[in-house]
Amino acid sequence: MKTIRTFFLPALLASVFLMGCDADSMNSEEEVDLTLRMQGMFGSQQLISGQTYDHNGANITVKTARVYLSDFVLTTADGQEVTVSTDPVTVPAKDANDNDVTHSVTDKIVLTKHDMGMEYYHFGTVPEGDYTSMSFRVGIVGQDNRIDASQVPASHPLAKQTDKNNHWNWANGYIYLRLDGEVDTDGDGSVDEVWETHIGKENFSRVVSIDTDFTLDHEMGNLLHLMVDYKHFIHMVDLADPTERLSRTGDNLPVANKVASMMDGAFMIHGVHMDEGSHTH
Amino acid sequence: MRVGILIAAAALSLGLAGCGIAGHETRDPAILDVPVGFEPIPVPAHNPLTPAKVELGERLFFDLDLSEDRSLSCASCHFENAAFADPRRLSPGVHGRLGIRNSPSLVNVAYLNLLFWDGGALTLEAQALGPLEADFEMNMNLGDLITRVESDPSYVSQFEEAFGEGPSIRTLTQALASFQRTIRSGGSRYDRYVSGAVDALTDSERRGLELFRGKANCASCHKGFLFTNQAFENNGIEPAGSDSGRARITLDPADFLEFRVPSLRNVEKTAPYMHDGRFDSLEDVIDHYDQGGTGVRNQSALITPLRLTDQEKRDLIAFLNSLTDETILTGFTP
Repeated sequence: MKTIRTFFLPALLASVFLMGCDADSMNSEEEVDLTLRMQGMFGSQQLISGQTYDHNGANITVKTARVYLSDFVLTTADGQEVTVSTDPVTVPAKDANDNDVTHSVTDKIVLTKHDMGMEYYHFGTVPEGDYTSMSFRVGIVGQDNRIDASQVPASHPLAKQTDKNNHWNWANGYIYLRLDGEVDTDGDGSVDEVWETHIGKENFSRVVSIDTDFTLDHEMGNLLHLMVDYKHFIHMVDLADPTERLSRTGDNLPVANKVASMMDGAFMIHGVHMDEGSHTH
Repeated sequence: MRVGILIAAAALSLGLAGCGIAGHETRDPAILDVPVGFEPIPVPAHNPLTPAKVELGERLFFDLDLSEDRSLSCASCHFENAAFADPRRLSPGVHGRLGIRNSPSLVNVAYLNLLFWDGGALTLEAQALGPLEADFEMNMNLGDLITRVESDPSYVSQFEEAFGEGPSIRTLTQALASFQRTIRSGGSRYDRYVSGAVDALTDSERRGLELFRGKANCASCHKGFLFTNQAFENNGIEPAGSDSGRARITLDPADFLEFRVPSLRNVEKTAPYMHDGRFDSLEDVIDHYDQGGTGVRNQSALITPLRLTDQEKRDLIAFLNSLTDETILTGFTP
């Protein structure tokens, strides 16, 4: 059972002495079963694995396009913050002092796999009504990023992915943004060198906040359409430059900094639609 | 079964519970005792040690099918007769690809808190996926790996017996970790010496032990029953290439060129030395420390000139050679 908890902003919190409450207890509110659509873009074009795109004057292809999102918060018109959690999964982990612990992951985590055409993610029920913003984190931080990914059940987004890796075996932690492809380095129009941009580590996680009015309604709209522009992430990276072509964060901090600085502007809410249910989550 | 773990007769005769690889039978890990002076083996609650898991992990460890081109197993870079290290400076992966670091010994690996030379893996289970997936090692796609294992009915039945379920990333890593936890060694002449057999060490080796604990200052880092404090230190090795060591994991400049302090058990058999295998002999290693490292940026303050005499160097090496547990070195034919 997915649960939604609501939190009041500090001023309201002080006035009502509440730390939060379950959506289920808010009898006066209707609820809507929310689905997030994450559409992958490359600039103004749909992102399609293997297709050639222009990147700062060079032809490139994108073969892998994935991003981890967490800490989703929807803010209602009256200032309530609605957070999203999910069924907990408890796994072995190391704490900040490298002691063995067990840890329960309860946060709603989304791993987009746009190279595989995955776009839809079920969020469970949230209060129906008007909203003014949505925020989320690009990346996985804290104890969630110090779990033993090899022991996470395969159905969970934090599990080791069996198609392409989104977790570093050699530097325990999740790859928040994984972009792989090929680039034309000699200007003949044909891609000829591999490029890889893998961003992880908490220094490079960013919170994205999108201030946009939208309404969630169980009859009018329960599908929140978010767009992610992968071209924006690498806008400042010169993929034709051998020193910038490969980055696994720790071995190329300049590239990691460039990409992290662009995370905030890579997302936009396209609108709210009705979920027709003809897709798989 | 190609290799087994059992209590060596020699160790038993001495009242020790040292572990060795010597034959073709698997010792029941439930009755595995730790060597004298060792702490209990840490076994995570989510992966209790069972004979079925150990047997399965052992099979996987030696299985060439776990590499992309079916040419390499875990044992291809962790030789039993080298104390589960690799006598080559760098281990060739699939298609002859080379990494940048020397394959470390797996002996007593169960006790390590973090894995790899830079501590990049949090658990023994998680560590198993590093070489399996690395493109310069076994280069296996994890989906293909599970498919391969699932295609062998005998594997499927072994997984069912060990875990009550089929092959998965979780069960495969648990099996490999279980086997590796049984690779233990504590039956050296030094161990006999500290247990009271004063004649177990020669005069030269005893002088070396005093140097180890005193003038040479080795025991500042190589301490305890594992001969490591499990810390990461910059021991004054000039960097090779772009390998920044622990700093690559933590992104902390203070960790620049820090690498795991390795155990010195069986060090006589684990040449070449250092994280990149740059030193071929213990003489080279002692010379490095004797001159106080190279003064590289961030060098540990513990590394200072030692001014050892030639005799002291010989004594120190003699002592290091007394840390060899012969029972861990026999029985495996690669």
